[in-house]
Amino acid sequence: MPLILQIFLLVGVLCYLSIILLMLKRKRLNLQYTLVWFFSAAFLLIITFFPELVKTLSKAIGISLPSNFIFIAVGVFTLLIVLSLTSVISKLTNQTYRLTQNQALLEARIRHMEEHVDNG
Amino acid sequence: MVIKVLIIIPAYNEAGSIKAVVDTLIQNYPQYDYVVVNDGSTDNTLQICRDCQFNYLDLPINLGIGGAVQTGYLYAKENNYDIAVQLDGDGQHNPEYIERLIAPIIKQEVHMVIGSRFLNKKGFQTSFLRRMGILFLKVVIRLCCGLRLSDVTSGFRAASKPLIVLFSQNYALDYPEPEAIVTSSVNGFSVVEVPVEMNARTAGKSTITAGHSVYYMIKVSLALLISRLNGKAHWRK
Repeated sequence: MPLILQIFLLVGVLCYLSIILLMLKRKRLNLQYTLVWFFSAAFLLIITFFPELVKTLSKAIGISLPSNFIFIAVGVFTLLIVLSLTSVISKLTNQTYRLTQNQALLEARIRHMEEHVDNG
Repeated sequence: MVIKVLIIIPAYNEAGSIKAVVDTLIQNYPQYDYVVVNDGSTDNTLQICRDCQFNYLDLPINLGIGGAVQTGYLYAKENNYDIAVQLDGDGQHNPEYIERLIAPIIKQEVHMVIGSRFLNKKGFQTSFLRRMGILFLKVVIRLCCGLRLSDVTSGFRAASKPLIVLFSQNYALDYPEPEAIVTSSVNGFSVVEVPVEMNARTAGKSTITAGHSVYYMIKVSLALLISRLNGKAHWRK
């Protein structure tokens, strides 16, 4: 890989990492959900420093063009991130359900108490 | 010992029928308590409950039938009821059969009783396509847990106290009826059916529309298999 491309990639990855860190610092992201983003950044960083790794890995799993390996890696990471998002949404849905149900139960209790007070 | 029975009435946009349903219960069946669960209706179901001073729970957002019924189970658990009966707010279910539904639980023979419209083949029998769907789910449930039931999507059912606790923690969000059967069965609770007659709904429309039926069948079958694979739920007795 030419040095200029390596430098370009490095700058890109560093930008990416600093955006994640900045968002974390400003509490726009929760740490528990950013692990998969850090993983992808780490992967990119490794590739930037050891481009030969891509060739070796491609050969090892039978991909003739190293660039195709990158495309697959991008797809895999995207899938992982989308999956993690779906899991977060599912968790949030369950929590919303619980909260809604509890709010309905509490509202009824308050209503009954108020009626009791009004009548007594 | 007096057995406390709660009738859970899930209601989503049932302004046209809810008053008649609840009034019948209050007048003819005062021995049972009831609670209407208004599932974020956009019509004036809530207003009717308020004006008539019904006992109701008001969900501020629409959770769907599973979330609404589960709220009823939470209420039953909180108020220490022995038996919970689900009765639709659309007038499909005839309260005269409640006694028949709860009898096997009172005798402590079983934990869950389902009102089946197909056992005696009387009353409203629903459309051909829907019966085909039910037939398919019947087979899936039989393969899943070996239960021979005829009306697996019936929402007219009764649950014992231990099941109330289980359902209050563990209930499917959408299309929960068949899944609740599997949940009960894999957790070691017996399920039986008793014959009932159902009416065609007086107002409102079914939650399952024709366009959704394929999605419904796939989703429910998958849910049944997963709850079968899950085995016993982790729940606090």
